[in-house]
Amino acid sequence: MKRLLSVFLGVLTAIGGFVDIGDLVANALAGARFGLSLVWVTVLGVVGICLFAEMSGRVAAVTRRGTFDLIRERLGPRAGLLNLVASLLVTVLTFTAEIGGVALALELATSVNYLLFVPVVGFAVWLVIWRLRFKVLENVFGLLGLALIVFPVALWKLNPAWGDLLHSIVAPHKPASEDLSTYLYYGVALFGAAMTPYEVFFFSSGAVEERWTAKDIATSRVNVFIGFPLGGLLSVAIAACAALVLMPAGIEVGTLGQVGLPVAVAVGKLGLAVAILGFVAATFGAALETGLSTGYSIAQYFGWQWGKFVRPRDAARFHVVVLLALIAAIACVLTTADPIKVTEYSIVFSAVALPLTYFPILVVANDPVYMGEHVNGRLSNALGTVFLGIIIVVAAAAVPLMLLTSAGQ
Amino acid sequence: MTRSPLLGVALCTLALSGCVAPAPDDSAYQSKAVQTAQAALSAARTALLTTRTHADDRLPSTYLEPVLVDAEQALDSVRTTFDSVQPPATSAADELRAALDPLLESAASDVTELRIAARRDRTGALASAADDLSGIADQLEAFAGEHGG
Amino acid sequence: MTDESFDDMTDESFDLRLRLLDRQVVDPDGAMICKVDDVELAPADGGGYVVTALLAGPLALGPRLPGRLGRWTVALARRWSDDPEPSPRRIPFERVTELGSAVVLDRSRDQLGIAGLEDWVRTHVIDRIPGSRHASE
Repeated sequence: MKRLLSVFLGVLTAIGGFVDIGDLVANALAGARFGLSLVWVTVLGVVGICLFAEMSGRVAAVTRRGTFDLIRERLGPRAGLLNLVASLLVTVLTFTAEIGGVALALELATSVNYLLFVPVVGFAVWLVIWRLRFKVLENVFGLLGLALIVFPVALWKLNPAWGDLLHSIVAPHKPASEDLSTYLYYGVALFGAAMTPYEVFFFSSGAVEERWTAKDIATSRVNVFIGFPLGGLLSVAIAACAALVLMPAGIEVGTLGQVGLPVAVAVGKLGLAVAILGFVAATFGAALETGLSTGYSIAQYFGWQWGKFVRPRDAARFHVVVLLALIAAIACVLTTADPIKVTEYSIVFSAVALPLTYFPILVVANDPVYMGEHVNGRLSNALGTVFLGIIIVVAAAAVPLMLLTSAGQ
Repeated sequence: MTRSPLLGVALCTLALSGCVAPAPDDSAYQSKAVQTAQAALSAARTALLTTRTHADDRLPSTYLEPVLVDAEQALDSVRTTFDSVQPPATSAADELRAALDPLLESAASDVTELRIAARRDRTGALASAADDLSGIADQLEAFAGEHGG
Repeated sequence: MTDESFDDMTDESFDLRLRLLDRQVVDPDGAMICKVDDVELAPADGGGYVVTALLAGPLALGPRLPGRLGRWTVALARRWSDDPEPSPRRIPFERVTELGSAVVLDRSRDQLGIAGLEDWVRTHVIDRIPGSRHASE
């Protein structure tokens, strides 16, 4: 019974922790501009992240080592370093976006300018990373993130023509007024938002933090294969709400306020309050994850002691790296660069960095020396290879599309 | 170490091009105008929807205010960008500008009115500014539809 | 092939890159020490080479990084060190008890006396922040 409860908790945490500022912005943006014609990309992204999260969780459970540790071991220090630098840049950019996201959500709750919240949020992120136990950290923000269920509720209250909705998802039709290049650009953005690289580092390092062994592989699979798709459903609900409320009005999403507007229209003040709670939980949780991921990647590459499972003084360099990344992220937000624009760039560059992250995972998961009997089966490999192909195409197309469409104009 | 002359040429070109956006041809100017109208429409309708939802007591004023501030900033920025584009010397371009500029100006001032009325909690002023903005928004939509691709 | 005792390894030849280089080095309790950034080889009687020590730190990794980056790493590490003739951190191969997915040593990190940056960071930064000695709650 206790086991069942803990699995249930794990699934709920996975659902609530799935969405971050990238998903919020990308799905609302796509929904408002393209209706539901890009939902297939979100679905594809969710399948991809499920596949690779399962793989990286399995790798971490069997080898008891984090991703970057194994990347350097398997690919060598030079390829590993290239990987590290690229992933780090994207992760810090994402970290910046998440902190901006928390501040924006708090602005919507209080009318106080978001910049004033930034130092407070930064300090809170650091404090939680410093003091809170890993499992508590994951569970608290994962469960609070479930507040975003208010979006499917809002969708239901908007009383859409469900048949039409389903039809536009399954038979996507790009709006005539939009260019193909813009359509594809936002497809890339959605894909990058769903398959964020930091998720893999965090998931695998988290498995080591929580001392997973091969026995936990089954639980991990339940979390991933049930939790992530349901989390993906939240993303689709966000897009659908935007499509139903914002698109007919000619509203294009460029602020977090617009993302929450459909909930207010459909559910009212209470719903909006829950949505804001969801925004704060999702972005704060993601800020913790990206912050920790910067520490995980650097420490694992160099072989330093890392993790929250030891006292801070026993992982001094790890904590300093996280602190420095936090300071850098706070500084970036305080330049008053539009956090939504930063988010858009972070998800597009995430898409570019995807092959660097996923290729090594596929390689290690396939290596019987590391994995023993838990090596990839034929299905995992087939799917993994197909996805790697998709990822490479997306990564190659990302920057040209960004230039071609002037970042989505 | 001598500086590359190419670098000098590149820098000069960059500096000069930053002064005024290059005068595009008619069709480029038209699509710029449509883009501007769509962005202005988005900001205006956001302000309207949020105000109306607030009036229906479905949205607190703490949410309304930042949304209106953002809409106001968006309209200002859209207007500034559009004004900075040098129109081609054709009558068609002049007509476009003559049609769009007043709409942008009215939209911006209406949203400012909304923001002030919202902060002062003046429902009457809120309603009248919203009515005016609604008309402007419809005209912006018509403009975009008429000249859009 | 995940666990093999050290004694079995001494007579075989093995692929350094595959089995030793860039591996995580841990102490008997599993605490992370460093990576095998490089190895020290000595000629063996009867031809070939034998591994005499594991090398770690920027002075060991630097030369393995490409081009200018590698040179800068080494130069920076030299500048940073108090030693007039700096050399990479050295773990004699006798300390190794196991060559599995990680390299297991017979001493803890403190006993090895090779932590440089970690100690500095701990003393000057982390220990100054309250709560550094407590496990997270």
